[in-house]
Amino acid sequence: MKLVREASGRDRRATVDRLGAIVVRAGGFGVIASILAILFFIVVEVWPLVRAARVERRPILQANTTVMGVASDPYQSHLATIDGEGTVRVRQLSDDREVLVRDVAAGAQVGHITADPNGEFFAWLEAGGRVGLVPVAWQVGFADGKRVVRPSIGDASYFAAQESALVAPIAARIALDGSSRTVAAASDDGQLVLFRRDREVNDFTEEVEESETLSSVDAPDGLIALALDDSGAQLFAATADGHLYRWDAIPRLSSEPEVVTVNGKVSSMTLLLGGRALVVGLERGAIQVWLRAPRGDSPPKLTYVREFPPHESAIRFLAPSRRGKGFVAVDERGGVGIYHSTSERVIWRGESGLRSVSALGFSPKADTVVIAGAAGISIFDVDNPHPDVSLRALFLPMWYEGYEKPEYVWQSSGGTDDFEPKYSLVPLLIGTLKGTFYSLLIAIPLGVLGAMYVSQFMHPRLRNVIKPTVEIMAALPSVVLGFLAGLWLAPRVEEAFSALILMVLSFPFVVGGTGMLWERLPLAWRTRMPVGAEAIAFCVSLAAATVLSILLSDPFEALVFGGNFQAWLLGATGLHYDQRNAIIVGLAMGFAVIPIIFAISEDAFSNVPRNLVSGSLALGANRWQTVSRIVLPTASPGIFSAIMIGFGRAVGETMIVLMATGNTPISEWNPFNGFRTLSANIAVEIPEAPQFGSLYRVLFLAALLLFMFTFVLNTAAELVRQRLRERYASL
Amino acid sequence: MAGAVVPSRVVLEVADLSLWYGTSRALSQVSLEIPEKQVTAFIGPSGCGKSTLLRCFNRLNDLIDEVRIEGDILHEGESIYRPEVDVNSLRKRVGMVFQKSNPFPKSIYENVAYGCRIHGIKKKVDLDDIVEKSLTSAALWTEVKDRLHASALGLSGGQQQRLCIARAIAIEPEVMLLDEPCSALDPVATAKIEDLIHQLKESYTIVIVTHNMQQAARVSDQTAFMYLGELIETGDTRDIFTTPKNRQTEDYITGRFG
Amino acid sequence: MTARAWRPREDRIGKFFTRLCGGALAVNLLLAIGLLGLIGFHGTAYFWPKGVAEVELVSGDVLIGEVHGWEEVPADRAATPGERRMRLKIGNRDLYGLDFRWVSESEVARVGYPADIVLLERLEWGNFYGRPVELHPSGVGAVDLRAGLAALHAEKIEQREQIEDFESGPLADVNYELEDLRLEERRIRLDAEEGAEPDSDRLAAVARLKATASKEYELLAAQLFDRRRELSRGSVRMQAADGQHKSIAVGDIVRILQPNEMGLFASVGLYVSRVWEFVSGDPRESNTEGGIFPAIFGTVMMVFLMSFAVAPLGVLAALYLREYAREGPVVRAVRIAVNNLAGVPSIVFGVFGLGFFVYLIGGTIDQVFYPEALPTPTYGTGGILWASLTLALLTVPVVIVAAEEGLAAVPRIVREGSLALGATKFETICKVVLPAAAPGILTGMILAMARAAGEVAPLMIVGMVKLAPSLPIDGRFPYVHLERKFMHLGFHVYDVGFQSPNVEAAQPLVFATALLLVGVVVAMNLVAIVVRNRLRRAYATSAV
Repeated sequence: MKLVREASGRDRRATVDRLGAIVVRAGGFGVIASILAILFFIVVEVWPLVRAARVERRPILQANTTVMGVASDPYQSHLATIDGEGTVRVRQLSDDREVLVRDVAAGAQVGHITADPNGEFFAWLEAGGRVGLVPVAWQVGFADGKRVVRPSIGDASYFAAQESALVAPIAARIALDGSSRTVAAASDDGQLVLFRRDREVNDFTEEVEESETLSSVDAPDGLIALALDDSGAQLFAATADGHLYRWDAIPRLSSEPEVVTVNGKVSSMTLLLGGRALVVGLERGAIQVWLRAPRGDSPPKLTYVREFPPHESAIRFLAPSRRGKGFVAVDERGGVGIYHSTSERVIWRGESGLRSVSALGFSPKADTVVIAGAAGISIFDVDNPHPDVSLRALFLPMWYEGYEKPEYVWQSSGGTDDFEPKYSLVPLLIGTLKGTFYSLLIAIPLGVLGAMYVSQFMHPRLRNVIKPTVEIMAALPSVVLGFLAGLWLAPRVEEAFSALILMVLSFPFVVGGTGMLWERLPLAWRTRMPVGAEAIAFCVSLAAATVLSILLSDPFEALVFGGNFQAWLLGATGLHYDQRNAIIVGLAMGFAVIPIIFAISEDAFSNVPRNLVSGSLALGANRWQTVSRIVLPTASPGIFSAIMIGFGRAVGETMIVLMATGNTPISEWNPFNGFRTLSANIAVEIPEAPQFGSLYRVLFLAALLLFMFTFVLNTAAELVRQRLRERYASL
Repeated sequence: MAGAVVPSRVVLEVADLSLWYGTSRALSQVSLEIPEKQVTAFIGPSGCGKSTLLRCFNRLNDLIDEVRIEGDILHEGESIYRPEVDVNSLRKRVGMVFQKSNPFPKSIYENVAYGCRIHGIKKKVDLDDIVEKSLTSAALWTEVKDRLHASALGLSGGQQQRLCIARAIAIEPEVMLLDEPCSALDPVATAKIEDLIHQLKESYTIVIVTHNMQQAARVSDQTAFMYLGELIETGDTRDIFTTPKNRQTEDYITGRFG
Repeated sequence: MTARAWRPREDRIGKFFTRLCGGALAVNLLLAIGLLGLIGFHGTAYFWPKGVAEVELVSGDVLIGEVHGWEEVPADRAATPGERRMRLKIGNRDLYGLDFRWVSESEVARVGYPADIVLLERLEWGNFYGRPVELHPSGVGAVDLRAGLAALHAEKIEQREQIEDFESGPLADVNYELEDLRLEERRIRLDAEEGAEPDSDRLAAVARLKATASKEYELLAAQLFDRRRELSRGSVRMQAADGQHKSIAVGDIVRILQPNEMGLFASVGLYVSRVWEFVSGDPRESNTEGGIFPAIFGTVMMVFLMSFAVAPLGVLAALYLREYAREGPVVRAVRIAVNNLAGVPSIVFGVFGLGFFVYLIGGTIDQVFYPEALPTPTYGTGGILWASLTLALLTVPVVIVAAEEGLAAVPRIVREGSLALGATKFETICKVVLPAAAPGILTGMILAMARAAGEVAPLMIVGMVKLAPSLPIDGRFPYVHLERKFMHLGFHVYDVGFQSPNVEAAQPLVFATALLLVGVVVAMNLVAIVVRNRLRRAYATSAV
């Protein structure tokens, strides 16, 4: 008989067998690998949040004259510079070609140039004592499907005081809608002068009417920097000896400035986007952020908020980002630092490679830094899409604009462009734990004790009916539970919260009483019913007690809480009662978790080896003694893992919390108000989050946290269960 | 010793007892007397109902679902199946040791003290005393006295079984039920347990189930042979093994089946 | 023997704790039963016609509406303590603005249920309660107002159905063609080389077709306009409770009822007809009225798509783990990991689905295959395919675990028997092991499908919408449109219950939807339990 060579049919079968093995192996391995790849993918999406910024320097551009100010268009195709002769040059960066040259100062020597961070104007001080301002426009069009930027330089306008010459420092702003131009400057007679030119276009005649308001106050001594906010409504000033001033500038400069003292000599100052945060550079190289923080009922006051690690020499130039709360700083020796105020991040530190820096610019999209010096112009490409996120901002209290003190805040979007996103995950973590805590508070006792009763005190015939009934609860879609909790339960509980209190309080009495009555039943009746039928009696009496509690809730409320629980709560504890609160979520999510805890604990209880139970009973222990002293300790690892898995479920539950809470991201433990969980937060925010934006990635981070947390929890629970199974086998 | 003609007091009396598991009958009309302070052995092939009968004495069959009982067992003349009987007190008076040793996953000390604690002895001195006495009676004291608080699961099979005996002794039962106590043990451990049984019958009434006929012959005073749920023959051990009255008994004893 | 004084004590504490456990179990049972009962009751009561009350107030005003429950007046607003008030659904949203109003006991002078009150269920503005006064044009059915109205209504319903057919038929076809041509034109332009002129011949051809189609569209649109005008002709003037008159186009009426006059038979008939409308009709009034057919369809289709994906994948993975992979720490770890994935929050899968399927895969597909439609995404946005795949990932652990259990339960001797007959391993698996494990796999599949049907959170991110314009399957090539967004029962519950403008009025409908959803999911679970129990019994007997 041939065992080796086979007929062709056999060959085909062997091939099929091999192929089958390959398909199963590849397929199975692929499925498992791709499941596990989920984690990898999420990590990849989160990674850009935490990776360091990449900054690259382009080759230095030559400049014939010393550049005093730089401005660029949003797409980085052109760069406009202005030099000491008042010549504005626009060069195309792709081929370093000058495309536009215009002398705007009519031959006067210019200095103290300020460039608009949006790249839309230059302002300068002329030697003759007047301030000039010229708009630079970047017209964006498309030709042959490609973007073309056409730069143009507008007509300069001039500002001069009547009886005095303007001197440094100066500040200027063009309102975003172009309706007004504001210029501030010191004058040689010790005044601080503010010009505002409002342009109004007549709707009918299309004539432009310009009106100028001029106001002045006494200038502080040693002024070194001025700053105007976007709308020209506030003027800030810094003096070399370390004082910061703030005036309201509408309609004219207020006579009483707000003054604060900086600890150190100020060398430069700028306003961050939104005009609510002041960045102050010091002679000793430090950079401080000052916010106008509210103080209770009194008006907001400039307040020191944070300081960045110092440069080696005095900070000479500061330029704010137009994308968020970032800024770039250059020191005396040419050291460059890119920072973000909100996230307190030092994004990059490096050398400009230029000896005497004369101008600094941060491009409108905050993706390039332009530094001009005697040797030329140095451009740095900044690849850092998420400057506003840092571990510190995610997990520690941060001092945000408009806040009295550092706080944990989640507020991902606001109505305005200068909104400061607040990405603290802490309120969401607290919300998650709060929801989980209250639901486990309900689910653990009900699930574990119920499982104990079913497995230890109940006849199998009864058990076979009761167990599936409880376990079918697990099948209820959470959206339905959320709906019932939010729309049916919440208003009813709000109306009769005291009924809920009554139910909880009466529970032991009802159960105990029913048990006693049950015992009094004639023996003949009791023996005919399966063991554990008592529980059915409990159902009836508890249902009756529920009805009774609802009926009695009003007199009870009147007696104990003076007629209105919510009013009593507010008066006695100062807690507000929200209709959709943590207790409602606890009830609904508890309902969702009970079957999980129930099923796993039941499994653990009923798998306790029978001979241990009989051993204990044979010693004369009664059922309860056996259960509490032998069964419970033996099954406790199983109970533990049941709770862990229930915990995991509660942590990740989305729909119930989404529907049964107000979804307000607050960090309070008060059971009577709402909260927002990590999971609900994802559901609420991700449809609105732009792809690859900071919010998008922070939400992925939230998902990653949920993933890791539940995965670790479940793995721990599973290992405990496996150990338990082995232990049972050895008993 | 065995064969003493002193007529003993009857502690337990089985009266016409039948038992069904669901619809299948496991015991049919068994009647039997258990004399005080003697060793009674139940022998018979597997499934003959000897363990079932044993478990009737402390009503451990109550735990098994679908069990139905007819007839009665009298303890000191009173039925243990009356509804008002407190099963737990009954089990305290009728101790049991199982086929497979089942120490609780606790320390040796706690295992022995378990029954006492259950029955309300809480004082440490009392417990220490009882534990030592019980372990000594079970011939285990010298082996474990240095590791009383180590886990009982670390003991060998024979030690575990003796621990279970000690645990049963600790609550001072009147009757000890031994359900094939040596079936999972090696010969050395078995010999130790058999010695122990000899000592214990000074103070306790012992009922032992075994399918090892030599063991029955060695340790028991009375022997009952059961077959297919029926009590075939009962009497003095020596008589049963030397001059069985019944043909089936003889066949079994001589090893023709079983 | 010397008996120590060990008296059997009654274990009161033990008894109490035992009862506490029993009580906990009872609470669980009550919760489960109560919840199902609550949904069942409200869900079915939604369709039952309510009597319409005419309430005369002390002030002399008259209200007409359905009584939707009583409650105690909040203490700060009650005239007398303990006063009760009723929630009256007065409808007539176009007149009053609100559907519901509270009426305190003390305000009520008299409540009656006159037979002549007519309830109009309308396409827009919800129910109208009142009495018909006059039919316009008055020529129709001058003899009897009610009979005339009924006749006119029957006619209008027919007209409306014709219009619907027309809209979804020829008109939609032309629309579709126009959109196709627009995309075709863009494609031709995109096909052209960089800087080169697009193919003018093809463009001209498309333009010709476009012109024809546009002309046809205009023609059809004009026809539709005529039909619409025809439909809107004929109205009934109704008198509301407060005496206001309101003219209502008969063409806008869904049903004309006289609820107080209906006998049991009529009520049952109406009940059945409403249930049928609910499960087969399209939604109206931003989902708060009408049917939920698209949601049922979307749910079912998504679950089936998911099953197609999950069944082979789950079984392959289980086969690999159980039959091919060598048992060891790695496989054990993998098994635990797979098992635990079932416990990872579903929203995480949603986030993954959005990032991976929608943005990465979908975005790539769009760039490669549908560049002409950009920037409008085709696959690069949520859709039924991505939703099903996301759910497939979510549920595949369930299937793997169940299938593995099923495979493990096949006795070793069965396998060895087959191998001993000379079958190869693969043959053994295909012909012996898999059939024996099939019930286990089936159980897993059913559980996975039940879970998928009830899952909402991840789908909110990857493709569910409030109102999908069209079903994912229709009569146009390629018939199955996997990129389309879809409606879903669970999302319907969330959306109508929480996002709709008129939550109060919509709540009963949400209960009905919830009942349907719970019914489907619970039924699937029960089937799974039964299958599993059968399976266990089968193995239990075969093992003996």
